[in-house]
Amino acid sequence: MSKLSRQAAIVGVAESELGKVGDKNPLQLQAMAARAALREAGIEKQEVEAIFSAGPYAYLQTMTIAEYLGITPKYSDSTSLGGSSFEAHIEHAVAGIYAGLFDVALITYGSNQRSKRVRPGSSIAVNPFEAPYGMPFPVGGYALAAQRHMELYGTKPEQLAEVAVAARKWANLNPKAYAKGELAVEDVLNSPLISSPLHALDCCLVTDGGGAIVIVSDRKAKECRTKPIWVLGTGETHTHLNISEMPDLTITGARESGERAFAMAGLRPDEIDVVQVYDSFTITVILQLEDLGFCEKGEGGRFVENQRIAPGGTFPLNTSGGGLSYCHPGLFGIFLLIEGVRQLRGECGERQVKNARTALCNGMGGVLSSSCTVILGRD
Amino acid sequence: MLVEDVLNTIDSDTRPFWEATKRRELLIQYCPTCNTHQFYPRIVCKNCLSDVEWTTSKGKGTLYSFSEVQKVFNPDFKEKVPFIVAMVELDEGPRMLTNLVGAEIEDVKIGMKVQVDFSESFGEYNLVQFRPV
Repeated sequence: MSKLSRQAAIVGVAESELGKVGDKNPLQLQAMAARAALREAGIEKQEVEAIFSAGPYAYLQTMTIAEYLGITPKYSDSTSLGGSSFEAHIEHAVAGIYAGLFDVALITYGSNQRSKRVRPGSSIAVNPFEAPYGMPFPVGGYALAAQRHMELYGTKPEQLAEVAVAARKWANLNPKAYAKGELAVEDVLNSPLISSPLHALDCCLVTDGGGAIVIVSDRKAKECRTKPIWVLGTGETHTHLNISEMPDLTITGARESGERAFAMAGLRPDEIDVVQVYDSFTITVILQLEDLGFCEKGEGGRFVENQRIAPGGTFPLNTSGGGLSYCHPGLFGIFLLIEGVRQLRGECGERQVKNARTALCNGMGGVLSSSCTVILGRD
Repeated sequence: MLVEDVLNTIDSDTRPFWEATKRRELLIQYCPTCNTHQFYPRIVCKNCLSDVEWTTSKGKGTLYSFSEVQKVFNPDFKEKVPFIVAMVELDEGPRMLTNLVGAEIEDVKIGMKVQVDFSESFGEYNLVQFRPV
């Protein structure tokens, strides 16, 4: 696997308009993001050979967006793993580039779920063994995981709340963030309980937005305008679809995907400078920090105490403000990568992590179902 | 609408399970080849892909996790709030999502013993829920 390290580089990243986009549709959002990402890299649309996309905006995603953008790809991949789809797309793009199938790939995503008032998961088929019990989707699944984590490891609601508070502090430094303002641990604990032990402010935002990433071969990267951000390591897996089939409610697939990504990159967790992990809910962050090896299993709650993961803390995490405070248009994985790349390029202004050379992005989709890890580095 | 949507999914994988609820029995599957039980029902054993047979669960298990639902988005459950969603590990091994009924939330503890309860009907069938032993 290590032979796949540093074979491909991300040379373009962009968001579309975020937050509430009014009557803009998901294809428009993807087109705006794709155009910005390609222009940043200095790559013409005609040079795009591979297209990757996922999400409930279309039935056949890559065919839909490729047609809209006038792209006739030689490689097409709509791998759909929920929030982590785009980290999986990076792994697949690296494989395709290494195999010599293409040099230039475009990854896109877009959603207008907030403006259209679409419920998360509403396009998912009825599961006869879950639906009768009224578990709110997807928060109830995460609540079950949080409850068990508390029982086994003594994790406290205050520790979960620290994750949301830190995210808000980062968002306050990000001009593009949707949710801003002061937020204290007590505010999270006093927000309405949705599905115990998770409160409203333990849950990610519901926003509109789109994103795009351009990833190219090392040969092509030399011609691009931006500093190449190399893919050092990748890993992917999924352990279940429905929460009732999760092998262990407190152990996610990040253990496996992370281990593979670190092995491919030849790095250890303590060699990562900036971390972006999926924060659909506060518990999601705790589980990933443990499973990726940043702390021991069960220590995640104590790990995030005293705002260690906030601006000024010793462990810069989700520096965009994350899905909890920056944006969360249904699937957040592409935005983890966008922020990771920008941190390594040193473009993050007030929220810039000094001298960041390595970044880890971990997407998580479904109800703790899929996990895909990407480790990035600069020259 | 919920009941109709769920019952519309009944097919040859799941029909025996639903029919058994009318007799207040919880049907799960057993694989004689690898000696494991499974739930939800499938045409093959998810462990070894052998043929499986139906068996009646003893209906006893342990509370694996739970959540008290305070807010729902689905109008079918608005009247029920608050209620307890539970994950139960059957003594035979498989886990299932369910409701815990007949319990005050203060008394609910992970690891407590539970048993199946068919007191709530679901269309012409009965819902598989659990209550404290």
